[in-house]
Amino acid sequence: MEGTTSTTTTTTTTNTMTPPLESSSHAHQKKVYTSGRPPWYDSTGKLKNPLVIGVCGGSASGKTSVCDKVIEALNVRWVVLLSMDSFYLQLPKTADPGKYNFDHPNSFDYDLMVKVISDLRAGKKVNIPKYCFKTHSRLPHEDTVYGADVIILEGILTLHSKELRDLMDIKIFIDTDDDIRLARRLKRDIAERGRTLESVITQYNTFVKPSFDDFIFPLKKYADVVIPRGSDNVVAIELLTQHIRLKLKERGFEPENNTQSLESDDLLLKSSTVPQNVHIMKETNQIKAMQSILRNKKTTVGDFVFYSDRLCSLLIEEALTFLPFTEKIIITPTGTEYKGEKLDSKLAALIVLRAGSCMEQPLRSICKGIKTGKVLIQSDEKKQPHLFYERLPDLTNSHVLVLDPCIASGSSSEMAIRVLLDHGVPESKIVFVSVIASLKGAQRLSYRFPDVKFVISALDKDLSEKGFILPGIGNYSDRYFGTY
Amino acid sequence: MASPNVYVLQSNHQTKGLFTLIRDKDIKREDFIFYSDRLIRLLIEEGLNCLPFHETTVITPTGSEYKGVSFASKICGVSIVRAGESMEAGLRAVCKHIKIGKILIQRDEETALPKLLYAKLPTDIEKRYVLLLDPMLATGGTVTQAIEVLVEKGVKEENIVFINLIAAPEGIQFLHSKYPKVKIVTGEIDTNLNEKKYIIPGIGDFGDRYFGTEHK
Repeated sequence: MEGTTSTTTTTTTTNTMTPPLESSSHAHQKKVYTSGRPPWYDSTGKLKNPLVIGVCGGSASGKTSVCDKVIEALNVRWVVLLSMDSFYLQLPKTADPGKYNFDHPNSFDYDLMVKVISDLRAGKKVNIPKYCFKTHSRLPHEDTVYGADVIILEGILTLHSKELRDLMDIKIFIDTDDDIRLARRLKRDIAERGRTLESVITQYNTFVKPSFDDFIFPLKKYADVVIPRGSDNVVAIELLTQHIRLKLKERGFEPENNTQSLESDDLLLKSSTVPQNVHIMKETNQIKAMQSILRNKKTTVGDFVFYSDRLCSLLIEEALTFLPFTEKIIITPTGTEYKGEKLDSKLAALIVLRAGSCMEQPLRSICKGIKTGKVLIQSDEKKQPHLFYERLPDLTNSHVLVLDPCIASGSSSEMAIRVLLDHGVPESKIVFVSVIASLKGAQRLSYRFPDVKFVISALDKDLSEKGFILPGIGNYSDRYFGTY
Repeated sequence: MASPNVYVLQSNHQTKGLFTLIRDKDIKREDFIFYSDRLIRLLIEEGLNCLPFHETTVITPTGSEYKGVSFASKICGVSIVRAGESMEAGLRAVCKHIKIGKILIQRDEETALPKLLYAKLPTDIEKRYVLLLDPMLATGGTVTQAIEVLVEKGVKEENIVFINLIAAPEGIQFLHSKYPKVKIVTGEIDTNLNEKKYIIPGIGDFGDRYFGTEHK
């Protein structure tokens, strides 16, 4: 049986807010990676084409170490590292785990692997099963993984299926000497797993070695790159990293630190023009007066709630005008025809917690019984948004109103929109409703999602260093819920 | 309509959709109420825009200045009983603690002329801007009588905003022939009145439909 039992889904941002995905035999040695979400779009607003790398090699050849070193050297923000171990098929009930060949190609669910990699390539959300090595079955809970810039699949037989190979941009075979691999395996299984020398050798001779000779080693011919000696081969890893960087650059990914991608957008967004897909409500005196009350720091919670509800009602009514309508002729009680219109789409809402819930009451007073999904997105100290919670209704064929009163940098709004796109809602069916937006945030979002409609009541010029809209309104939900 | 002092709610898919719902003779009553309320609220917001504002500067929680405006000081609502009362909830939803007066005018069965039966108004109404509420402007007879009551109490003609959902051109003309300075805010202007003085295509008897007192 293959030695490593970890499935670690990774992106390279180190973060302590997200719980570790799984405790496994050696996950603790790894960087804690998180389930944040990438900027899936390049500087022209197109979905980026991620790079898929397959890493293959015998048991204890050092596949994971090579992957870790490459990821570290790459310093790309969004990497998903998948292990073939997650894709073991359930062990048949009659089978004896001691006599079952886990190193055989038939032990793996290749259909699922192909589907997962294809979906990740398309920027879609996927669920990765968790395999339990005690019961040899899949656990009921699955890990959720989102699209990334680089997707790495490692395992003993990753190059076995042609369909899977065809999805890979770079195929790597780690060629470590058999003696070294056996020595590592003996050391690991005896020292770390309390197995006896005899049982390890028996397993090696019965399954591991024959499978390697019959199935794994022949895969070498499919590899683009063969790395002898695994992770000790510093030169090979460096060459590989350089090649991956080059490939990423060709696809429009820039090597980046945490804010660079946002900065590079800014170069393109120097102008102060309001993007076409941002609709600002006509500023009547009433609206201006409500804005003045909401923005005034001396306004009490009671007044803030009252005028927020009032303004949001108008805003939601305005947002609804962007939905599709068709002609409808009706007869009035006077017996006359009236040429009218009716809404021609299903409608649902997505509330971005916590602030979005400030808009829930006005929403319900306008859209009776509307289906409402919720997401909780929080930014970490590096201003990277993280998705903490997601519960959505059936959104098939629905237009979706996204409610979030403030668009500051736009990063959490971006994630909220991404969640919808991941669930198959097209951009053209999303109307994002916000009380107030910063020019930068609005530009950034409209740029990334040119077909999403943004309906706002005010556009402010600046954004403070701490990420507050200026002159702004302060922390909207703190003011609405009285938690300041 | 281009006449001065007539403000028609900007027509868009959304308002058109709402009118389509409430004008439909087959709509369920609860839906009639729900969608009428939504339209009324939009109309009241529109009506409030006819009132004067003062410029003001506030400090936001970020410490920045914001140049805004503040509401005109004294307003009140006056609803024309019975149909006008259907607009009170919308008014209250938008204007906290607003004072609301009531006027009851009935058409005399014999003369077909409106007759004042009851008026209870805020005592200082002459100092206030008045939002006068009645969902239908048909002939304009009733509302003109109501305005007469207000003017007698000392309310300035130009301080009256008459808010309605649907207006007939005849009604607008009649009202403005008597009180040209009154601002009329309406949702849609219909074609004409029929011989029974119903608005065409209209909406039927709004009060009956709203309060469920139709006898078919």
